[in-house]
Amino acid sequence: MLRALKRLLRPSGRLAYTTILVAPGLSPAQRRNARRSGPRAVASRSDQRRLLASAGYVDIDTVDLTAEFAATARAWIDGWAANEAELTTLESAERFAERQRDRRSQLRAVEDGLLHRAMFSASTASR
Amino acid sequence: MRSRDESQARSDFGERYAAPTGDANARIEQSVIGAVWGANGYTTLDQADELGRRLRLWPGARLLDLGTGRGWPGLYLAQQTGCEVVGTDLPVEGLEVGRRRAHDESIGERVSLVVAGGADLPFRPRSFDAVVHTDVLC
Repeated sequence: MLRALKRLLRPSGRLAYTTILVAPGLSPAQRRNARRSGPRAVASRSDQRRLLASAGYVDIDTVDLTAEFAATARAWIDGWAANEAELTTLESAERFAERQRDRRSQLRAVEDGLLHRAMFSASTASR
Repeated sequence: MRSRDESQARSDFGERYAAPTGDANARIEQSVIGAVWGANGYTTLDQADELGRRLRLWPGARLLDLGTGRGWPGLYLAQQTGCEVVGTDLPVEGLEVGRRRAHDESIGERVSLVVAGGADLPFRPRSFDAVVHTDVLC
């Protein structure tokens, strides 16, 4: 995918993205748990810097957002819980409960060190 | 993302984007991410601004936002920087909300929204100055 995006970019083009990563150094069981707990696109490899470099990007930079990831997940859970009565007029109680369960499972995986989130940025070469 | 996953994602997200958002969702979103774009992910307003700084956007630059949903953060970045944005996603329901928002924000002429998956992007080589996405691709 990084190579396909590089083809779409002009020289000195910029790529910036956030991604949810399975933490490095996990046991196979922990990796499975991380993938099960995360959102659909959590299959990201944790060695994004190396992937970016091998795809030919330069000026690669990264910032860890794992603490913010946990804080934002908690804020969604709390915000939805505090507004449950109103939200369940917009969707079924079952769907609401399922959404909260999914979000709590993601938060637990972040708190247990299984999932990370980070921002990456990079450039294409100048010509 | 695999095509079966894409199909499931299109269905799940299409259902969500088509649903009415309501005042409670808008209040919660404002409090959690700092803006109201019909998003329910993890990208906060500060992080969208940081993505914009890293993309070094300028008026007229051409930005591709993959998996834009209802337009977050691509439309926001177009609004903030004057860039043009092409947003892609699979659920047409979200793109339709984004199209109306672009019109309401008077940035419609700088915004194109295209139904496309990450594995099959219908664009010419070297046609963008910047690409952004938030937690949608592997």
